[in-house]
Amino acid sequence: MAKTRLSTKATYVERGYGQVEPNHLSAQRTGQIYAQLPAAANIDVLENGQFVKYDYATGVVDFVGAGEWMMVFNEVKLYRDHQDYNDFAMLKSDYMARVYSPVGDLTGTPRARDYTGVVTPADPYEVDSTDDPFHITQWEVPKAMPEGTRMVPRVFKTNVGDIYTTNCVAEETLAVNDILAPGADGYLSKSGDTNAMKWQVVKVYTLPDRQKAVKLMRIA
Amino acid sequence: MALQYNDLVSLMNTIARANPTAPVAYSFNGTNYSYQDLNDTLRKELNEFVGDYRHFREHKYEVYSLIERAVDDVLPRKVQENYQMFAEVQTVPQGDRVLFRRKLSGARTRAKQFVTRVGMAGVYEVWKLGGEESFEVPTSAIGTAVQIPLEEFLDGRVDWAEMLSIVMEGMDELIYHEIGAALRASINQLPTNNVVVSNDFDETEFDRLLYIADAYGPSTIYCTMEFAAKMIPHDTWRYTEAMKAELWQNGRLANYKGRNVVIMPNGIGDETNSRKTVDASWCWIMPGGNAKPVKVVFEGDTLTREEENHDWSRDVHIYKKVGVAALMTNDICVYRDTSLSNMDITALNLNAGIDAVHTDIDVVDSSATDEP
Repeated sequence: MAKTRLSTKATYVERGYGQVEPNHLSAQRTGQIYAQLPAAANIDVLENGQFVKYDYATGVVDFVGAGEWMMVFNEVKLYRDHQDYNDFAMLKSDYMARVYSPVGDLTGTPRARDYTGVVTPADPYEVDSTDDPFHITQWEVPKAMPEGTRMVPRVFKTNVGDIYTTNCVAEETLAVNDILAPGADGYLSKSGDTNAMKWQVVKVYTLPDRQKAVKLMRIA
Repeated sequence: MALQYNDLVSLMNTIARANPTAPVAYSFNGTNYSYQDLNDTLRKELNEFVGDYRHFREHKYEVYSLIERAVDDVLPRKVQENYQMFAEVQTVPQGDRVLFRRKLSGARTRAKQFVTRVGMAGVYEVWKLGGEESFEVPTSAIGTAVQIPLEEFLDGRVDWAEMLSIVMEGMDELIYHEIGAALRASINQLPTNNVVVSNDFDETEFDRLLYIADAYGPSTIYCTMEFAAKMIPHDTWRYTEAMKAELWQNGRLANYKGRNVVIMPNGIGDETNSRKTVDASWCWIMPGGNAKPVKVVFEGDTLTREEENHDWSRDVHIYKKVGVAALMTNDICVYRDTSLSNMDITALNLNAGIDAVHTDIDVVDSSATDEP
């Protein structure tokens, strides 16, 4: 049986999920790679080449939120011999995580305690020597993953001049000079928000597995 | 430099195995060392090993390898030792997954209906074994990164032993809390008869759970000290002099109606002593010989990477892949005394999950008087 497209939205994909070939991505040199926020609870799949917001204020990766769109580029993890690169996408059902960190939020109102009689006058070389030392509160209870979240993607900041090849595009036909931008679902398309960023199709060719693909260059 | 690479590996493993509270954690050539002595030695030796810029350039890969080996050798063992009552720990090579199998639930009962009254020398209906069901434990990464500024390093302010200790402890604690969360989240796998939620210790209901678990084998009770302290007879006439003495001496009974009570460690969760590290309200009753409900899987090696920045500082990144899953069976029982839930976990979202689970469970009314 011929393998079909698994991506429901990246209609340029022929087989499996969207893929990325990182021809020249600045994040791999600048280190602007972010991988410590869980994907929002309503996200069931993140394909390589999708775009998301690294919404630090809310504490999740999502399709809404402040800041620039970041490109999803996860490590490809496959566990079965028959699987190919195009079989990989970050699927929520493949992950389970309940605890985000062994130490929780640095919040709470500690009880005020009077230490003025312990060190008087204040010792300038000791932190708050006459102050309440407990104001530096450290909760040692765990911080849970946000409700309903299970997976932590890796996302790349992109810059003008970045070049990569992908088929993770919500279009069926593409031509050189088409301008693509992320839509509300994070997939590149011709109708995406070009005020946010612009990716120009610079070549129509293939991915390493010979599926049709486009080479993109960020121009704005 | 006194110790070489292999000696450092041995020392780190010794520290990991040592009991921090014992007066003598390790003896060597007739000399006794405390846990603090061992840590001081490691700190001194590591700082000598990479104590200056030249030595650091020469030995840095050995140090990173040391960190990786320490995490790989020690972490699974620590998890196994600390949580052996609940958890089965496996380490698998990179790219592998563990498939846990168990007999298909209900298949045994189904087969028994074919055992009937029969006429002699007849042709009887055949049945087949139900086989097994399998579970994969998905892994994902836990990790961290630490920055080492150049001048701080040259001034000797970088404490490698402390750094490693924080990483190990952090990972260990994260897994511990994940195990607890996995256990609590898996309660909806249990029959409703196996779960009681009450706002106090209800002896009658507790005993009912005990009898359920006992039906599958002599059970053991796992709970926190806070829970065990309440797990005592309500009627004073039932106390023997020995029980009174034991309660006074230990604050709890080591044995509850013939079953061993195992105390799970707990701690204070903040510096104002207002929160517990582990929610004390949970008590688990498990029959002996039961397959451990929690499966912990470590996949592949620990990975470290050094990134040298343009300000000459160095970032050391570390991650390891681990998975935790809880598979309940119908011989495990759970009692929750919500009056002991003094751990402020609402903001941590764990309570939300627990409550969500409990909406599907018939919460037993603690005022019920049904005898088990």
